[in-house]
Amino acid sequence: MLLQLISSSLGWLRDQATAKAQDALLSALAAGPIPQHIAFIMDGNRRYARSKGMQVKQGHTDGFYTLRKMLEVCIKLNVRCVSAYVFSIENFKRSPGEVTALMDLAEEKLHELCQKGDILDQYGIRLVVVGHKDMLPERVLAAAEKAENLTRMNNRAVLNLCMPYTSRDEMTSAVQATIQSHLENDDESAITPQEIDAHLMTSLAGSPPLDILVRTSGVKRLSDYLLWQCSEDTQLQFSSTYWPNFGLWDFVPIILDFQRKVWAQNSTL
Amino acid sequence: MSWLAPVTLAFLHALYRLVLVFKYIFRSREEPRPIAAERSKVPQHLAFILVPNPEAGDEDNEQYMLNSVEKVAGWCRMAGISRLTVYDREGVLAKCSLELRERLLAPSKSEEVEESPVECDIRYPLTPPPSDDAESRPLSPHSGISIPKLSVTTIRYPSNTSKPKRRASIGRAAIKRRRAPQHSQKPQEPLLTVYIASYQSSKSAIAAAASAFLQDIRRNGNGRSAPAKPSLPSIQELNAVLEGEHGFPSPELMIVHRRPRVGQLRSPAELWGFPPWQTRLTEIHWERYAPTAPFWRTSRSSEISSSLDETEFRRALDEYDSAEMRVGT
Repeated sequence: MLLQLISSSLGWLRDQATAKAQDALLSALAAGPIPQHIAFIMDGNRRYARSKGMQVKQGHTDGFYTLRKMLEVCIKLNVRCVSAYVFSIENFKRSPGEVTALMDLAEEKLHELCQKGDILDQYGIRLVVVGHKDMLPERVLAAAEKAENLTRMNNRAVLNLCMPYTSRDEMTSAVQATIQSHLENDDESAITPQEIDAHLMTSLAGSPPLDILVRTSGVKRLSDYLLWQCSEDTQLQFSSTYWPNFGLWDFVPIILDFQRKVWAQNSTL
Repeated sequence: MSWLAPVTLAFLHALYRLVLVFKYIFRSREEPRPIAAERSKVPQHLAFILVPNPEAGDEDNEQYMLNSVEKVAGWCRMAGISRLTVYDREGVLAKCSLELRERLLAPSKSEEVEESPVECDIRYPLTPPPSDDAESRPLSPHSGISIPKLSVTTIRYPSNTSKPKRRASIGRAAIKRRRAPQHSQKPQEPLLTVYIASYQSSKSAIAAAASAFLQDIRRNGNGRSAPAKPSLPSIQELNAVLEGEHGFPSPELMIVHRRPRVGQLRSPAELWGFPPWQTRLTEIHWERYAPTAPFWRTSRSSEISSSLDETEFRRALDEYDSAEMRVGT
């Protein structure tokens, strides 16, 4: 029993020391230039699950906890906006069982996220669901709207959950809205890229320009995600780690690369 | 203690720089397969983003770009890639499109005088001129379809072959042929179509397409007033314009090539304003480590390559071949 007590005490001390060291590292990073907007393509949940002999559903659940962990890291770094590719419109092609499991997970975690004391409340994060929301099941849409309403007044940071989303759908919606606006205002001038930009779902959610896009699992494609937003002045970081395994040590070089870019740009001005 | 964080950060960056130098020195030097090697997947459309060296002169960068595009076009033909999009943000290639067309056509002109070993004897007509950088105008008074200014120049040229093939789609006056026996017919080699794009072909092109749709809606609504229920463009309609005759289709593979700079260590990929609509499913390749020497070498131009290295092209093809393709599933 004494041994158990010593072991658990040492474990607690180790966890505390690790947490303190991580906070110190984040404080050091925050002393330099920090990206305003980071996006994640959370790829590799299923391959992660298969590699560990788990069910795919567990892979997605572990992926959600990684998103929470990375969101907390970003907040401590003073990142203003985090966007995550939760569900693509193309993902509806997956097996009905997996789609239902993903929708169940989305509903459950949306409720969990906006609980009192949970991460959104703790850090003052406004949640926005970005995408073709009318494609969501009624229960998920209700959970999304509830989460958005509960966090509407939070202003420290924004979390964009892109679901169900594709960038071409977003760009087309922005083009449609811009055309509609010109017709309603009887505006004969030519449509500009700035007008389309202002009608993008991410812009309407108040997101700043995208600085870094991270895709995990080794895939080097954008897969119809934030194509307009990352076409210029955005660093694309492709990590070979599966998303549920993605952590601070994968993320630190990404922040260092960003800071090197900003300093290089400032030195040429 | 407010000094501790910046000092720690400086130490982190110094350590990171050492790691990058270490990784550069010990980077993988595995030789990629030859261009014409057997691969399970070869892209039909390659995009090539060229980023100039800001420390080099404009003319130097221009020649580097032209040399690189000429080489890549030749490699594409060897690899069986039938479409090539070349992009540079500032539009240097677009301004040099005539010179580029001559460089790309030069090999095929010399082949036209080669003796054909097969029984078909074909004279190719002149290559069509590049498509116009057209202002927005209707195709016809009655079609109601405006042509948006997408700022893409298209060059099509004959295949690099010593065995000319039948091309029934070309003007018949220029063709003289004899029918060959069935067993000696060889499969057609593809044309190479080169699309030249710049920043003007990017978000501005989407805005131009939107303006064209707006004009059509107004025209269909008989003048300035908006129709009661305007037919707004769908994804498919927007795609038909942006990837259509005056635009360019989505590439399957993209090579982002930054002209090497002395002292350049690893940097993440960026798209430099490449047209966003067309990058939906594109595999992105870039060389993490610059081929030239790092900071301890002097920056004499004679030590720096005059164009893209073939190894980079071959490595991109190998990477594409090994990539797993899943569309949503």
